[in-house]
Amino acid sequence: MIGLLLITFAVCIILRFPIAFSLGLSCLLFLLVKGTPLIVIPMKMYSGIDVFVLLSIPGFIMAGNLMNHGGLTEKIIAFCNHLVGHIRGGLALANIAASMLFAGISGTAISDTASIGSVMIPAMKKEGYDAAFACAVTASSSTVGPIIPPSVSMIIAATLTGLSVGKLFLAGAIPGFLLGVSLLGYTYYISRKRQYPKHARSSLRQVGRGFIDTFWALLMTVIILYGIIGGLFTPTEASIVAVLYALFIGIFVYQKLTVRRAMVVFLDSMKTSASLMVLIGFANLFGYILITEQLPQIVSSQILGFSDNRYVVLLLINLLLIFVGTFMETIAALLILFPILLKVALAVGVDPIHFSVIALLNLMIGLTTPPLGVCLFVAAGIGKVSIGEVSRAGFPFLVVSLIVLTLITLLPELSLFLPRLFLA
Amino acid sequence: MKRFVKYVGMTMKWGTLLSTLGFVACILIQIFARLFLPTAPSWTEEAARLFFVIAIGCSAGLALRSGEYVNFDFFYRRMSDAWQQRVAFSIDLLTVILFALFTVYAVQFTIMGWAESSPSLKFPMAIPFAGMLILGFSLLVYAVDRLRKYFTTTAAGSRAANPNKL
Repeated sequence: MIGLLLITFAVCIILRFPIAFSLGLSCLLFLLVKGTPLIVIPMKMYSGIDVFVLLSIPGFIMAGNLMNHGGLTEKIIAFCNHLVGHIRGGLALANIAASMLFAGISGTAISDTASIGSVMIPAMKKEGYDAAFACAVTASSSTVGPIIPPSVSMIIAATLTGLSVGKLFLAGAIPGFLLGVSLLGYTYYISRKRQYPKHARSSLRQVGRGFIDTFWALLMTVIILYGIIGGLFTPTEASIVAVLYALFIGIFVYQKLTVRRAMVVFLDSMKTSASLMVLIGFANLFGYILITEQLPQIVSSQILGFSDNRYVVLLLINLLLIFVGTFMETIAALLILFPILLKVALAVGVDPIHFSVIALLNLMIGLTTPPLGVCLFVAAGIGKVSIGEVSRAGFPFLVVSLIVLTLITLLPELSLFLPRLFLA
Repeated sequence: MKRFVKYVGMTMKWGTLLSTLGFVACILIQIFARLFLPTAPSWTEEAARLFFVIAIGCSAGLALRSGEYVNFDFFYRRMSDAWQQRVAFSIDLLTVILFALFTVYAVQFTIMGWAESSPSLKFPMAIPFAGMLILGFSLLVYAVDRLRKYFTTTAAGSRAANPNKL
């Protein structure tokens, strides 16, 4: 019976059915065949959505969108260019640095690829960078964003496990920074080798102006993290404080936001949030069916039957998540697989916070893994390059990301140091 | 049908905006009360969740109209135009069936809610449960509207193009 559910789901996804509806349709078919009353569908959808911490998702999306309406993407890119533009391959380095700074504002890798890529890829091509390299840098660096806090995916992982959102946010900080720095290092190496251009050094005044332009947006991330870690706000409250702050900055500091525009941003953000909530609601139903069919136990016993060595189990989980991450949206993959795999990870003594970071990083790497990685497609579309060329140019970035993943998997302290330091 | 969809769209848009402002206001009251008043009210979280569920219900259909639902189009892109048309039509038809059934059972779910009341505010649970009814209905309306477009003939008399064409 469980095969029917999984096969229907896979077929729906292959046929371009929205992932959220694929979950719903496969559950509907399963329930009809099993003869379960269909009232369970709205019931489980409701119980999946009616969770207070999930209110932080529209909050963070709204705050990010309000900030972006002040032309923040361009401001962050300009600031990073002033900061690192004078180094060989400066624009490529600025691309990665912008993704790291943009992390607090965007929170999703695909939107990061689209927004930063639409500015950076044409600019890099114009300066003589190889187009495929420009796309590969953009796609790879966009995976850093959802690891560095605040992150929508981390909030969902926290909801699924009952872990503290603050702890998960902190756990992502060092791995995200490590991934960003590693990508910067490789990009610098390639840029020197290929003699990519560098700009004249920016004056201190230009750097200062760039900093002031982005300061208010970056301060929002600080307020969110300080508020949550300091115990001043819950994550949901912090997200709404961020909305209020972004409104204030947009209207009075950047002066690009009007009440009418803010309403449009609210509406657009709610549409994005609704698409995520329908996904979460149906995933709740899907998860309920998997549990009633005892799939987590079956998967767990299969993996542990193969090996109960912690590193072998983590390797298997990593491979599975990267594979799934190549074609499935991060949040959907997280919702379906995370509770199942967490059970296995806990059985071999992996800390749940450490495991959350590993899982998220895997799914992010999946987004840039050829031939299906979604971020590769988005970047290739912007750069008007074939997916094959972007995949080839992106392969070394993938290797760098996998090395970072290995380090993070083998060294739990990289994820657990900050949560233990601040929220022990 | 077009006019009906337009009215539904307007209602959902205002429903989304008002309920969004509702949950934002409830959380702001919660923050203010916790930081500046001796005791924080217990109803704010419950009210915020109520507004949130209604906001999601109202905006779910609008999200379908704007193409916000993520899908995987690797194989779809490789199909011929004729197959893309067939697959897109099947997707829209199955979406209609899914949300037609969802809406029917959401009515039952909402009715069930009359017997229960919320812990703090004591309102009937049918009110937040109706968020699911709104969600199903709004998605159904826009799914039917997408399906309708396959049968709409253009001014030249030919069939309208596949609304899902990439």
